[in-house]
Amino acid sequence: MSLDSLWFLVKSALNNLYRNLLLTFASITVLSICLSLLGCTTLVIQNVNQFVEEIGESRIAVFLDEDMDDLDIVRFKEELTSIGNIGEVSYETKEQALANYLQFLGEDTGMEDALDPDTFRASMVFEILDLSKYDQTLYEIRKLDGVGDIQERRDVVEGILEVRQVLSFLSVWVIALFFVVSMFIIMNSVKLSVYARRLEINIMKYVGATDFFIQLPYFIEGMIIGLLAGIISFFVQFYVYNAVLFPILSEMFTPISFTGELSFWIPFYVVGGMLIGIIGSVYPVKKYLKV
Amino acid sequence: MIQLVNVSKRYEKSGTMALRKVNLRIEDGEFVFITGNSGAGKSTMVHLLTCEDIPSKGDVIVDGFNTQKLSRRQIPKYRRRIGIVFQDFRLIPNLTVYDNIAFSLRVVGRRRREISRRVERAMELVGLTHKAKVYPDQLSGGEQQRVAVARAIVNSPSLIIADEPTGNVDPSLSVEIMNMLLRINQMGITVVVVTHEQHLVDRMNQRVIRIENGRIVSDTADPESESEVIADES
Repeated sequence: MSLDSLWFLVKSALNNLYRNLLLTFASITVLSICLSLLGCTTLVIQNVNQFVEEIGESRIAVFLDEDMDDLDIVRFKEELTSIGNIGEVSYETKEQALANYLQFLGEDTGMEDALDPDTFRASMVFEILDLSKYDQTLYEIRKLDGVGDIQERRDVVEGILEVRQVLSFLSVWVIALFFVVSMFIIMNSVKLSVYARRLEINIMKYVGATDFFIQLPYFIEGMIIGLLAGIISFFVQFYVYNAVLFPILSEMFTPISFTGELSFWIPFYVVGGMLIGIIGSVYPVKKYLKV
Repeated sequence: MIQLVNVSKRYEKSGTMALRKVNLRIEDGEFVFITGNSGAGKSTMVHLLTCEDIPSKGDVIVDGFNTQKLSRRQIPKYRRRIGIVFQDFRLIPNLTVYDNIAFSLRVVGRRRREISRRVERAMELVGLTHKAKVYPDQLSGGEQQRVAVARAIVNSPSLIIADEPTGNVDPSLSVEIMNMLLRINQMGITVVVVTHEQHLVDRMNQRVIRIENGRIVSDTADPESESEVIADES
């Protein structure tokens, strides 16, 4: 395709947008709202996920057999680490366990003299990384020599997994819903534009323009609407989240950082908006190509 | 060359038989009128020639292209060899005369310099150079049809199909349009004019094919066609 043709197509697309300025503005606004809501849903889901993980610690303590010496403990730690799917392992001696317990009870309880470190057992403390492999990891740990007892929070883990499952399910449907709504908006906008230019399309067909050439300005039109809506919704989301939501959420837990993940969010909005625009402009033109 | 071999067209929805076993041959460079009353099958013939439709039976062959065998991708290439003039002009109201004519070149990807050269020449041919920057609604019916003719010839087609070109034009300007088409024909382009205006046809002294009820009932180039049809029907 020559540069002249390309310029003709881009000019046609811009003309379409300008001719239906009010509709273009409405489409960009509604699509921006849709994309913002889509982004909001994604952010909420990610934050709820983060929140659930923070409150429901998947911390596990493996109590060691009494007769293990220092060398056995080093060996045990190595074997434990080699299982995989566990975070950093920290060794807690009997003395540390006592100190932690006393700290938990609070000051001036008079228990300092009553308790002996030998009342407690040394342990390895760590977190399970992938909770979906929780049972399998525990099974591997139990097989190790020197495991006395395991303190775990199965109820919490099951709760986390359940919440995650519900969130994943919801997110798929919410994203699908907004995708369909966004597509409908673009389709409507392009449909009106195509209708207004049906005479041109008809003439184009008669003088031998290819279907692809006829469709291109509408692809470009949809793409421009999608791109502008993507950029607007990104900035709206960026400022609303960072200036309003982030400080509020920070007081409850560590919210995910919108700024830190720009490499994900910018393409999410811009490419997402453009894709919706292109896909949404395919169908409306097809109807008028049957000449 | 245009060739219709045993062409029949039946519209499935309405069940109408628009053309019945039509055989026709138009040589390169001919000027032909296709006449007939409303519903005779003239428009169907135009649709078949422009590849807007395909015959139910038989073959339509234009410049070696069998329209029935054209793929969807080949149709645009085929149509670039044909210039079409419509009764309702079909000019784009928000484009100037120049841009309306240039439109058919732009959409097939011609370069700007070539477009400029061809459009100037086409405007000269139809006598509208002085109205290049004028919009269609500022033109008379006759002038609008001249723009449509210029748009049809600007891509150097080998065939011009004019479907009732004088239908929306002041009767006094109809002859002018016909003479313009005749001038185009004299440049070696085949011209097929579909019309029901018998008085115009009579004045032009060209080949006339008359259709009735989907059949060719007379052809001035083939005086025997009438008797053939009568024999066929009996």
